[in-house]
Amino acid sequence: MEIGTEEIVVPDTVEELLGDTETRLDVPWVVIVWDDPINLMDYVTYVFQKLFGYTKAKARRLMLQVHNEGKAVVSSGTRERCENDVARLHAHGLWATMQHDR
Amino acid sequence: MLTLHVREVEVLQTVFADLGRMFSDHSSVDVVTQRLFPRAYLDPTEEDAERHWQELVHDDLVESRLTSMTDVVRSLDSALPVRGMRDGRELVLGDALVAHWIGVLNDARLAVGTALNVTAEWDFDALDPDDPSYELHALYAWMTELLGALLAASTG
Repeated sequence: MEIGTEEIVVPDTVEELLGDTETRLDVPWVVIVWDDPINLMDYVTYVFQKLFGYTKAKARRLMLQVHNEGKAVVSSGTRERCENDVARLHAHGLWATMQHDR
Repeated sequence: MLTLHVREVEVLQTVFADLGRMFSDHSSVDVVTQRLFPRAYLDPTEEDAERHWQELVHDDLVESRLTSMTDVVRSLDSALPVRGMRDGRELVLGDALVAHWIGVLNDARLAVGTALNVTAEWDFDALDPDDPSYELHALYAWMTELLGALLAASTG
């Protein structure tokens, strides 16, 4: 349809109209580490230091959160970044999953 | 410096050989494999993402574990007799090798612990020595001690 001399482009799909919804709404993903009965507290602390560069004190606090609350959010960001963190955590034997930050 | 009894070296060589075989077995779907290679997504609506992520990372996860395993086994195979200790074996571990040892030993604990269905209430001292899985529990307990010692050595 033409109005005046301008042509209006009608998007074919709702997705096209909204663009990349995930980016547009900026909903981050979070990585959760779950408590498990096998991994040692010292080991979990060691892994948090190694993977995220935390001080021993911070890594230990995070470990205690996992231990006492059953789980803890250890990182957040894009899907890609979180998938990478989950892979690294799995490579160290921790049980980690990712989900939308609600 | 890690000092082990020759029997301990032999036990670890056997355990790690079994573990290496399991890593390489892509058809395995038992609870131990599931624990070593878990899901990234719990949300059932993310099955496509899960499958895509597994395709992306699984081979690398196996590869990195096997690489660490190779270095650890090599250090065990080349352990030297200890002067003054009968049947003693000594391994000199640099920082990189200690990190590999920590990872491989932890994987072994995960495998054995999962197979034994270890829970938070696990207490070796409360076990019946006549229990058929007693030796496996003893192995798990000993690997736990060894891992603790290696962690203490690595973080100073």
